[in-house]
Amino acid sequence: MAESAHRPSLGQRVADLAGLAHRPGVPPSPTTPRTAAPEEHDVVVVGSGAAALSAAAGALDTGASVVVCEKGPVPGGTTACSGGVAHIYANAVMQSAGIADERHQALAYMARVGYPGAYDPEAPCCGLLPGDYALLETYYDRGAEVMARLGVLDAVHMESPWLAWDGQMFPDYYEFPENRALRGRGIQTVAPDGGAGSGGELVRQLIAFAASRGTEVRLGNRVVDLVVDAGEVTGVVVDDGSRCRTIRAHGGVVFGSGGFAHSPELRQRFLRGPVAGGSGTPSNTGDLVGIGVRAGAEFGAMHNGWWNQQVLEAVDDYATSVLDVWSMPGDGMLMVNRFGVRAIGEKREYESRGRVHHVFADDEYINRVMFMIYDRRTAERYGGRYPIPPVGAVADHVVTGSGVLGLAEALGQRLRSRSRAAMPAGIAPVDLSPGFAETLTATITKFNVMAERGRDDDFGRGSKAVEFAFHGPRAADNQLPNALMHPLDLKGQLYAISLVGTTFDTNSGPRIGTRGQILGTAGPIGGLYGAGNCVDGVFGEGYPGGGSTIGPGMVFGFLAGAHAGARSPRVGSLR
Amino acid sequence: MKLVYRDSEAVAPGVPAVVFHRDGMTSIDELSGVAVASGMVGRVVAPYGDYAFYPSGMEVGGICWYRVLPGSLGTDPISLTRAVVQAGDLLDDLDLDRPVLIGWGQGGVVALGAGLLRAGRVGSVICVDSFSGHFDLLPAPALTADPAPPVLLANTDPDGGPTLTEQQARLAGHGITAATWHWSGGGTGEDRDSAMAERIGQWLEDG
Repeated sequence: MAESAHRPSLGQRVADLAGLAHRPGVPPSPTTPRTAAPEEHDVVVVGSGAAALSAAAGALDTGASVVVCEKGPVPGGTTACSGGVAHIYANAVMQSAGIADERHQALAYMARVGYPGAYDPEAPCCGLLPGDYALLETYYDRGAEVMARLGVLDAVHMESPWLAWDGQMFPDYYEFPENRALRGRGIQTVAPDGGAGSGGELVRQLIAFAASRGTEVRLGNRVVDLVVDAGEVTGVVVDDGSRCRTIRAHGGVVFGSGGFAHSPELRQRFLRGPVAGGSGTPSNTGDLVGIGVRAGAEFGAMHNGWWNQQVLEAVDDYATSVLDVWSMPGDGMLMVNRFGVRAIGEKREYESRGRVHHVFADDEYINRVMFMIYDRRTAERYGGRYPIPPVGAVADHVVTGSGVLGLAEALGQRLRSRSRAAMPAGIAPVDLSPGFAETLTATITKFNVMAERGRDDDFGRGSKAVEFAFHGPRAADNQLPNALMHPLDLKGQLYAISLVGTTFDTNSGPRIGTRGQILGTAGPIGGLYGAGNCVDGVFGEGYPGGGSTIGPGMVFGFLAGAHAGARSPRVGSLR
Repeated sequence: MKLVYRDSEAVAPGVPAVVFHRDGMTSIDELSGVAVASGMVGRVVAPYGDYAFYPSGMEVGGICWYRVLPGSLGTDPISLTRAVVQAGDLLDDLDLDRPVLIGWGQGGVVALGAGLLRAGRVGSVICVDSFSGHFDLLPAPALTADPAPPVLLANTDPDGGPTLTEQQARLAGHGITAATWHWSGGGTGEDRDSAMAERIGQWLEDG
């Protein structure tokens, strides 16, 4: 059920109770008078996720002194909430496995996924703007090199293949003809036990390396502004929760501070379509947006994010869970909008499903809220795989009814009883269309016929490797031709879960150059760098495969840190 | 989101229990059995934590209550507070008559936090094998609850005696008095659970 009308939201109460220094509504600390000389470093890194810590590693590799300022109460940002996969082309794991990953084809794949509207394989730069294409080239050319360098430094060992449940390397999310190396681009850390490490382990290794070089990660330290001298960024103003003070940066400042997924205001201002904040760390409130504007940064696309879905009742900007709907469990399951119509092959990965919510047609966002529908068999067979609750549990987020009519009635009542205040910020309430039950009956009937035949004529469910990788093993009682489809019992108990579109972080912000420099209108802004989700995404609007968030963050973070470190007069000449 | 929970009818009129599972959800049946065996024969409610235990690839490998980072990177106080608030909401919604909250591992920390936040409505709190460092991350209004409900700290690690002493002292630092019980015997898990149920039953009876 939605948050009760008589209670403030879960997130608000958590924010108040946790008493953290940097939370919504808390004003910045007073500024310390400049009586003492500011603290000095070669490079200041903002944030402590994969992008930021790779920047620290890159700077440390030059011999620079580095300090890391993290706003949150624990390190790791969204990386530490994740599987810790990096999507890297022609990486060492692929090379060891004999998987070729040709440059021309890989670039075409990235261009097509990231810029599908402009992509033209015959045009210069595949139809992309030259600056955007140059970033893709750099990413291909230097990705594996950066990973190797991080390994040589003993900073982090990204040498484990990302494997699916069946032991195969996880496939990319799109199977375009350009994609000749479908598997192997996802890599993870080698954990201490020799297995593959998650995002927490990735962060742990990078922080251990930084600490071994004398670099401190300061928690609860929010960078609120830049110090600019003669057009060059020379430091930051940091709020440590009790006071604001200046830290001098001789080489530069690298932001890896996350996007604005958890700023309702920025989400609503910039993102197209109704989007709620998802599973990213709650501190992703877009600090670089305001700072970048004041610094004269040139902004790229501001409407891009890493899309996902979340249970409507679970959305919360301050008390997030990592349990977004990363995959939709079940074979006897489908997803419809308020008209009772399907919109996508439901077994697709989270990114494609998240985008479904952005469709504007017939004068409205027709998929603003989607409904996952399943029957008793699926409830029992897949119970416990989020968002389907464990068998026999009382679950407020699940609406149930007997047959389609019973379900439609219960669902309609739930939607009508939901107050506006109980909806996620930026998403208006919905109701079912008058013909919902009738259309849903037709939709399920057609789905059942297609399930028996084994072919989804409408959305090709079960035609892509990634769907099987996310689904897991075939259900023992499903011997139909398509393991991802099973008929629903129309007359039995049916269940519905409301889903909204989320972004587990945005990837919109200032544009960067090929060394991670933040660009102004007249070229790079001296001493200012960015990588990861706080800047304009390297992949445009696309998500080529698992690790598309962490990969570019690490590669451009490392390059930015190295450039900033070498830029410090205390370190040496520019490489 | 409201916590999902399993709801078991009362065996007989008696004290209700709310059981908070261990990390990974593996202990619900076991801990429910301990609760009933120790005399909590009223309604037994077992909520499921809704935080990911660890992500393995993109699949969630289990369920826990809050986020603990690897190595010495720390524990996320936001996710811990979230779990405590959700548990408190569940207690409000269930409207049980002075239930006993019993939790294992992370579940013990959440039970303690929720029990302290709803001190006037909770009978007592039992924490089994919880990490005491996490007690300090509970929200301030919980740690300053006055009066706090009776608390029993249990430890089933043969070498866990000093841990119990440290936990007791830590809670005392917050003005919370706690009794302790240490299972140092070997034997099977059933032996341990039986002994734990006996001790809990005695403790509840002694008031």
